Amino acid sequence: MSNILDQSIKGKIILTINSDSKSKDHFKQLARVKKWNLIDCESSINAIQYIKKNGTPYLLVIENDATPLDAFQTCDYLKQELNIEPPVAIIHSGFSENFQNRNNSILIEKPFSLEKLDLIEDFINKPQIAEVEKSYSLNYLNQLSDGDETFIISSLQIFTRSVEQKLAEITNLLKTNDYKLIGEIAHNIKPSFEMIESKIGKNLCNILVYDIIEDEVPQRVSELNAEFSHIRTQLNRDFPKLNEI
Amino acid sequence: MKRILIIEDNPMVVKSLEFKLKKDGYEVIIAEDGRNAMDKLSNESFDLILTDLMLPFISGSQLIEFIKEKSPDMPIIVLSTSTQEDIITDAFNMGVDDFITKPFSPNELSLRVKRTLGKVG
Repeated sequence: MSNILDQSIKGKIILTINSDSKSKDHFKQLARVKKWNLIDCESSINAIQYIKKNGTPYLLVIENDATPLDAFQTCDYLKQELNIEPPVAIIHSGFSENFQNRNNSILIEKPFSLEKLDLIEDFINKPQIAEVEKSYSLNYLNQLSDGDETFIISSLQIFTRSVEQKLAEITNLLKTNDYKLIGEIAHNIKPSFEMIESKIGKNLCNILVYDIIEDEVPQRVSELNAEFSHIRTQLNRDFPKLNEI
Repeated sequence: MKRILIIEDNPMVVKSLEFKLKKDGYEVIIAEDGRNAMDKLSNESFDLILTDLMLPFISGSQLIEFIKEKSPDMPIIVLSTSTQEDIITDAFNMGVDDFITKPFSPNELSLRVKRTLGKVG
């Protein structure tokens, strides 16, 4: 996957606005590893001037608290005044619910890492995902906690870690054809899929628990792994904070 | 403050139960498997037990038997999935007070816990 993404992003102009010199140097080092072509702007106004002169960049990487216009003001200006809406990676130091309603943008919390640059590449490569129906929902967790953000983030972290571990156990059990234990583990993780309202995950667990046809178990396990991977990718994109701890 | 023991091995379910019950004003103690539950039941006192029926190291029926032997009046609510009708029936025959389907409805959990504690309170 990284080769395909590298080909799509390599050589294309990525505009960065980052006043934090330490963070900027770190980002540049990582971008060099990824072969990204960076144009460094001192301020959001410099970036706007660059865009006016040179056209829409492939990606805008901007600090949330950029000056004189912050990230959201800069995006609004580009959209309203120049009719330009480039993909934007907004760099921030702390999560806020206000961030959630922005189209065509991804939130990346400092410090940078290669994994976070991977997330940005995924975001650029799949900009249409935001408009596709999500494979999970937070309705249940929101209802349960009255929208408690700390609880929801913590629950999603538990989901990704615990289900990943259990799926690894299931995959390993395929080697010994231990279908009874596979069913028991599927039974254990089924509520986790239900709590994020993943119907596909829930149905696959039900099949592994109650409707096992032995020849089909490896295929069902593979489908469950794929669905989990799909959900995790969406969660990581929507909640960059999940990768931190 | 009423003490509730949760016996459940799915960490996401545990997190949710703990969050909701603490918010409702209860003290919550967690046991993630049957052995740990038996240790806690032997050494501590509780006002209510919420338990899964498929646990590591010990079956649900063994656990209920153990609780009923040790504390016959201890109220028990079983945490089940919607497709475990036979197991739920067996649990009722062994003297459990109620059951809640996972994932639980938050309001239903509050009401059933309150009702069950009220019966013995």
